[in-house]
Amino acid sequence: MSKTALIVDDSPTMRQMVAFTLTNAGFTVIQAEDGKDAVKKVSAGMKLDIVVTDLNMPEMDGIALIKELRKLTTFKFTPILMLTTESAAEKKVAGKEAGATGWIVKPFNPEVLLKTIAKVMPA
Amino acid sequence: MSSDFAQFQEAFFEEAAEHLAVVEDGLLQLEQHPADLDLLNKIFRSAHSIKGTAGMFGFNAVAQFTHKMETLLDLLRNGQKAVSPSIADLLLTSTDCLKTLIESAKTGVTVDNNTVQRLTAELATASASDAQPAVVGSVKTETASSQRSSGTQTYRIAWTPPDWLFQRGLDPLQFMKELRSLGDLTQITLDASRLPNLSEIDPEKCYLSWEMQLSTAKDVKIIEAVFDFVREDSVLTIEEREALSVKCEMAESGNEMRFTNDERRPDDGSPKPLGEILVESGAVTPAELDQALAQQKRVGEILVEQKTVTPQQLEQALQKQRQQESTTTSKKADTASIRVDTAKIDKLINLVGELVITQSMLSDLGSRFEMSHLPVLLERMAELERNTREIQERVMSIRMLPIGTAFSRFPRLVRDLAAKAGKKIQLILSGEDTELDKTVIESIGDPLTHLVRNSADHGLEPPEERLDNNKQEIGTIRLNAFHQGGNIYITVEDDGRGLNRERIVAKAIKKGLISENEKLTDDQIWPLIFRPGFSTAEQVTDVSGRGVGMDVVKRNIEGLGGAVSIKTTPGHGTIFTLKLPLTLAIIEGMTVRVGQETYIVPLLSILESIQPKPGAVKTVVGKGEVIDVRGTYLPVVRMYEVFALQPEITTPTEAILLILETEGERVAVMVDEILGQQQVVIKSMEQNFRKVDGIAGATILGDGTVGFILDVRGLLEIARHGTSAAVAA
Repeated sequence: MSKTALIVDDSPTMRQMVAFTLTNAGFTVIQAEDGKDAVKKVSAGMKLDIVVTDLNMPEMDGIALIKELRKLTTFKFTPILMLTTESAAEKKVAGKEAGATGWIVKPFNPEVLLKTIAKVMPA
Repeated sequence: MSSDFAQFQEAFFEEAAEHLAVVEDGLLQLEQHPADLDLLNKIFRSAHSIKGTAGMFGFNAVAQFTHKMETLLDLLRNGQKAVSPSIADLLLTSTDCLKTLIESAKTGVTVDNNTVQRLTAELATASASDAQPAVVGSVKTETASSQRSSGTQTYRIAWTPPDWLFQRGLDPLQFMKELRSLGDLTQITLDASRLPNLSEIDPEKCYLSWEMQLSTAKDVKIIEAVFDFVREDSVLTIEEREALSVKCEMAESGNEMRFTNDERRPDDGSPKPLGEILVESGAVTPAELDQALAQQKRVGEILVEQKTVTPQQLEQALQKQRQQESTTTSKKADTASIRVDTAKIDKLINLVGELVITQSMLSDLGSRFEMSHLPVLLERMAELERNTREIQERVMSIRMLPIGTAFSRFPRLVRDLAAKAGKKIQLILSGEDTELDKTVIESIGDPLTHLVRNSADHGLEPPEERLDNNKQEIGTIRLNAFHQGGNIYITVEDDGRGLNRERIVAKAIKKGLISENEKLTDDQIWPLIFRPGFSTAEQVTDVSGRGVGMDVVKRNIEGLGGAVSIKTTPGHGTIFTLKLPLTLAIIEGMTVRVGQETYIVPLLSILESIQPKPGAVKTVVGKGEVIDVRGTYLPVVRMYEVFALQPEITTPTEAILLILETEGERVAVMVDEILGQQQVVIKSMEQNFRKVDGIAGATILGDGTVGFILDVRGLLEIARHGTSAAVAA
């Protein structure tokens, strides 16, 4: 069974790029355009194998989303990766405190993305 | 650069354009509401998005510059800096610069680096309290590339993970697997000494520590990288154990980790310029290099010095080069794509599905048709018609965009114009949601800009003059768009001084457009300002009156199959109304007959149709046939001569003469009969056949035959230069 990934980013370009890479790597990809959209999409009790989320987003930002997800039993132990820029160090800390598993620094390439995901995903 | 992502560049440019619009619009609003935090957040997010995504494509200049803007924006939204007019100004100018940078990333045109550097410096000064160096977009590899040490080393790794390990979705086993991929992982010992009594255990917490031994050829940094996400919160020691002799199995090339830096290098692997290499190697200083470069002469200069070419020849050649450059770049920038709401596409797919069903029902009916089935057949045909019409409408709607995108540039424009001219102007936009064909939207930008400029510059008076005339100090420009009867109307309205009749008449007489004793109504006078070379502005300002006049506005709008009209009240203002077709693909046409052929004349160009009195059509030597229409002589074009047809009527008095107008010039076209009026879908001649003089395109008529659409401009040319060329062509 293929693994399911949720990618949350308000930038459609970023979303497409991540989705494209993950789809090619055999994932089923669900896309959400911000935290609120993501919560709506997962609230149906869906099981996910990995979440990749941007931090700066309208409506609900990445940090709030991570906190929200960790409250759900189904997401208690799901790996959540945040997409950050190098300059946003304090964001990274806030994300970790919210329960993020790890981070990917923008700009990244498909190889780094897949490698980082492999790093946190239980085989 | 990550070639895998390159295919998303187009999407990025589109998205960046949207973000830029948000930033610009937001900054303009910010001037009115400097404390609006939501607004600041919105601007910041857009800038941040551009930065992040630009980096993904290696557009480092864009990323770095946006980072500077973002830094300042961040200070603003955190309240560490207040929004001042100068900061708003700086950010707006920076947005312009960013636009150019993105354009440059798209087309490869070089940017004026001085501006970028100046603004970068200004942004840095404005966010002076910020100590962060700009590192964004610069290349930072997360791990040093594997510098192979001489051979395999053995490390002792002691790791006490943070107790929240499980709560963040991490698994110790995962770390060990990754370590194993680096080399030989042995002697893993678990330290469970911190494990509390069962009753006190929090099952979600990690109480365990591990010690293990890893034999690997990799650098210690790579081992550390395995613990990237937990390193700061773990107790981690990695020690080298040289003394120990461990069986060394070289890491198989298969599980060798490669940290290729290349993907992140900003350039695309093209070799560096010589100067840069010399500077890097320390052979020369940057200053020396600059000096040397300054001495370097261009090919043209050398050739002129050698007297091989004259400066004039050189200038011509350079001009040609510039032209070619500009055409290639504009072409590149024009590759258009459109973003369509998925709902629209879904609906379309459904409709096509229905069409397929109708079609299969019809072919089923056809295969076993009897006369008794006729009512069913008619019913199906009606269904087919409905399907087709609906699909047509839906497909058209895909090309439709709200006109707001064309309006969005004006708040900024008006602000700048007002500042430059020392006027107070408020801009009111309405009808932004009116949908219009994408091509039309793109083409009305310039004419609209010209009209708005014109209103701001000539229409509205300076504040003192307004106050003297008992008007509000602040002048108003109103842009409105609305649908009416299959057309889109856009109005540009100002409450300024209105057009000056006397001045226009005087100017027109001076330019020889009208004669001194001509009695003209207002409606005949106002359109004079659309004549080429007409400008009543006494002094040419920086803003308008730069040689491109209202004639360009009119020509552009007419090129789109639209029309411009003016309404003005002295002392109270002027309204320019643009009437545009909903789409470029369909025009309203008058069908006319010449012999056996049917032609379509664009309805907008028809002024009137007349049946001339005997003697009205005369032949003038050197000018061919002309007709006297209420005192004005217009050239006559006999359609059957132009297209070499067998007409029914050859005497003008029995035929119909259509008076057509384009760009202010008129021509009388002789046809046999007027058939009626209908909408026609334009098919390109050039794409399907070749260009034919006097024909703008073709269409399929109701009876299935092909009808040609007349090109009024082309007919005028034919009237001027005779028909021989057209026939020969």
